[in-house]
Amino acid sequence: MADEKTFRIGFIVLGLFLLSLGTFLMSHDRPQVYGTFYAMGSIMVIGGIIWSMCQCYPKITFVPADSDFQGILSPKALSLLEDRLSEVKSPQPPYVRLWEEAAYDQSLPDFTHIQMKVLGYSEDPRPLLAPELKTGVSSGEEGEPRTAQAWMEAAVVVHRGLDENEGERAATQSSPPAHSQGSAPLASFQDDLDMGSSEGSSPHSSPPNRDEPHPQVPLASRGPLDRFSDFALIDDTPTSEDMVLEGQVQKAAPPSKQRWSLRAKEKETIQASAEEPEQEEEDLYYGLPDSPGDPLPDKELGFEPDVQG
Amino acid sequence: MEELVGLREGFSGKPVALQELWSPCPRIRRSIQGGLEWLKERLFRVGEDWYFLMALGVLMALISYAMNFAIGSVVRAHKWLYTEIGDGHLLRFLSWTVYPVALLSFSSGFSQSITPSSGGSGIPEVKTILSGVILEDYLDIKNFGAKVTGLSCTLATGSTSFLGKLGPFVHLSVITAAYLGRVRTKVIGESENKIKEMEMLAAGAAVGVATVFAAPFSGVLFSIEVMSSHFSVWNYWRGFFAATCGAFMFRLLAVFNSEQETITSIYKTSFRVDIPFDLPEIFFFVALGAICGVLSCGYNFCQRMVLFFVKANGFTSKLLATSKPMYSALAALILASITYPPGVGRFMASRLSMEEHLKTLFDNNSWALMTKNSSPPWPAEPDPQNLWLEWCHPQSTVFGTLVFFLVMKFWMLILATTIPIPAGYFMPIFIYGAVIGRLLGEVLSIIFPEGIVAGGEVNPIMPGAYALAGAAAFSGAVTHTISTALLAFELTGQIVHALPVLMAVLVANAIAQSYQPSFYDGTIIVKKLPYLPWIRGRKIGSYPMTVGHFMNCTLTTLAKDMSLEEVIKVVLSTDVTQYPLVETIESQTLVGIVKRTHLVQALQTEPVSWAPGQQPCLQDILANGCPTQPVTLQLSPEASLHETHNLFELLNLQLLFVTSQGRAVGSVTRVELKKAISILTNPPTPK
Repeated sequence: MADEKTFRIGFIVLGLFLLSLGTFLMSHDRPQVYGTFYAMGSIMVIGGIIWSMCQCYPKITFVPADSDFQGILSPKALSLLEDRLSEVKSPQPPYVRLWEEAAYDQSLPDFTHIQMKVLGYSEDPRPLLAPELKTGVSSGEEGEPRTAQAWMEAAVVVHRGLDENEGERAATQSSPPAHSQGSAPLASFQDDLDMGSSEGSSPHSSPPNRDEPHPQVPLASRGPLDRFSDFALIDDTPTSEDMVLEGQVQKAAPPSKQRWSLRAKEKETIQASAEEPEQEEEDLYYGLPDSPGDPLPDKELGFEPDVQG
Repeated sequence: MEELVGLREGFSGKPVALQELWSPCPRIRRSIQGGLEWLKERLFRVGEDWYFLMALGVLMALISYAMNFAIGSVVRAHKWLYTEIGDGHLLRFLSWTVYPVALLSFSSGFSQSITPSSGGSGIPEVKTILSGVILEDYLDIKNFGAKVTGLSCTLATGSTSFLGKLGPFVHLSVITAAYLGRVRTKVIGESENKIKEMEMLAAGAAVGVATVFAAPFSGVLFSIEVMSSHFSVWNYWRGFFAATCGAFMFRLLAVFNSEQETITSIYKTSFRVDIPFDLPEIFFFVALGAICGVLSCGYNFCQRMVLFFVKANGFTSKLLATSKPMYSALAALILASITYPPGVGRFMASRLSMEEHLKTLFDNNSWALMTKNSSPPWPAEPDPQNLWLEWCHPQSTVFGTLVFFLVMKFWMLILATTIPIPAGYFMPIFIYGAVIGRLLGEVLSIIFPEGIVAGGEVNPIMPGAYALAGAAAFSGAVTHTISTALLAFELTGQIVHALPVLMAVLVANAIAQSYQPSFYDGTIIVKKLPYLPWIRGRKIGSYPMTVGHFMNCTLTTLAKDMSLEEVIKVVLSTDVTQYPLVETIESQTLVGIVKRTHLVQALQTEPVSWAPGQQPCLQDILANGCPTQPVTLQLSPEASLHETHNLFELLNLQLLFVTSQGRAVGSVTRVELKKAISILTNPPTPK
């Protein structure tokens, strides 16, 4: 804050001014006068210097998603946040996705996906923060256990949502629900990605639909190894996908344009990794929201944004 | 980056910035913060304003005293140099003139290089700011250093430049008040409050005047009269508290420095207390007031004309534009050459400093009577016991000296006011008025050597009292204030002449206010500051004028059912900062105000998810998070000019929309008001 800096400097300058005035007012028959001036001046100078020195802490830029914070922070904090974030010009979807990625990072020491930039500070803040999260006990770093809790809570919510979806699916489709427990979030891969992106533009979508894609998005942009483990599961359950997809289509119909853009983005992120891009492209076309009986036209559709873009 | 907040675990309260949460030594920091919170709670029970006002007063007193100290040292050094340099004329002339030339050009160059608006008295700008106009960067803290240094250098030239301290010091104290107001907002932790800011600035202005003279009463009243158009009684208390703290500290420092034994008045006089004046003398006091009023009209008029001339003339304007220090050096050279003591300065008592001028002029003896028969020799150095001897010249007597002083200082002072340096212009006109009064008093004491009421007791006329009345009357007439009377009493500690002085001041004001704008208003006119003038005179037909006559009828409104293309066209084609928001294009019912920046931002981040087939309109943009302000005050076209003027001044408004039966029909800003008032006062000649 520029204002606080002027206050600190003003404080020190005032102390120096009092010291110089005390020097000029020196008269031997009134030592208490310049003694008072010297005392006050030196207190202010020393206090100002200590205050300025304590301002050297790491300047960390940290990107949360406001939608996740709503349930956690008090309304006052919410209005504060809203006031501040209303000044932010950038669109919401990338931040939402980043936060969701962070929410599902199970490997705690790895903070690379949270864009933290440490500016002008010699210490590495990560050792300070990581053990906090690991132990879950805070000795003063208050934001972290809260956010860790948030991540845990979100994970719990997701599973509940999946259960609901399972139940619905079972009711509508009357398909065996046993094997879909593990694969349901992964089978509806494409739709969940679409839901995840549409969440940014229409934040008032229904919670179960919003919670469902949570495991998908971070999984999609994790390290290549993780991605492959998910795709392995997709390969396991080819039959239930179509039914799941139909259920998904009935529940929400995101605009097709976003699907294409998301597909393009997904393709870009996957193509960025060097390992087996062709297999990933093939895997992408499993969870198509269009009618499952016509993969070829969808493939062409899928290619379009790539060609145009 | 935006401020991110978080909550401490187990800590209920306001969320704090994340940067604070992750700072080192959290326990010590928390304990210190807890201690500060406890202290704040204990101390601020009485209301936090009083502490900051006291800090403001004490701080300004310290600064004023330190400046006086520094200036005194420089002046003493100059005097020592002048006396020690020997008898060679050239060397003495150089030592007399090089000092002011160097100091004034340095002051001009330094202060202009930091801020171009730091020249001159700061009071017209402070007056504009206190009336609600926002002058950007005028209260920046970097102006502080520029003005302090510039003012100290200007005052170090002493009576050669014949300039004072008041104006820039008021500016300094308003800067300090603004700074302390920001500290206060930060300490209390509340959001910015425009009204409280203005209160603090008004108190700062009062403190500035009070600390210069160490006179709290007249300081507060002078600041009210000069700088405020409306003054709430709440600010009265605050101004007095801060001014008293400042004046007290200022006098206390003088005692600490062993300059005085205890707190007394600056200029001690020894007027008779039991019969200070005879009753017929009141007539002469009133006559003195009239003379001062007429002279002040002449002074204001000439000063304004010279300022216009300096701006319009090719040579001076080019010199001012290219090199201000050069102009200051030239003017200082002229002034110093004329005040050179062995030359012409002999006739002007130029070896006296400004304070010594006042001390001698308030002397209770009549110089004319004392020097009638004998003419004392001119001492090599001013005699501290008989400083008044400086005013006595063997050939031209006291009268000659006084008249010459009046004539020469009239144009020299006006020349000095054109120099672009931070300088105050109150003290010179105070001294000028004192000389006028002294002259009249000396004339009267020659005409009536035994006093006016003959027979019985002899009460000789005291020219010192006339000098006091003249000082108060002339300075009051030039600045259009009455509180200079009170200032005269506070400076001398003598209130026995209260009634005659007050009558003189009133008469002088009556004459001056009818014919000329005041000194500071004249500066506002010359500098074209955006100050809303009073509606003067009841004969100009201002009462029947209504808002409908002068409002700005060309109003670009944004209707909620406008399509986005039209909205974008409107935004791109106009350049106003806020748009009135109306309900529909047909009804034009005013419902809110939209700021241009918010609208542009909302248009840029337009989301893509419009439902197909639906024409997006302004309503959707607004629903998606473009903030609108409600309309709190509206004008009707039948509102009178006086009502509108009062509204704008009292509430420090900038813009009001005019609605007729709900429909937005126009807008009124200070520009329209000013134009309306100027048309009324100077009606354009019909063709």
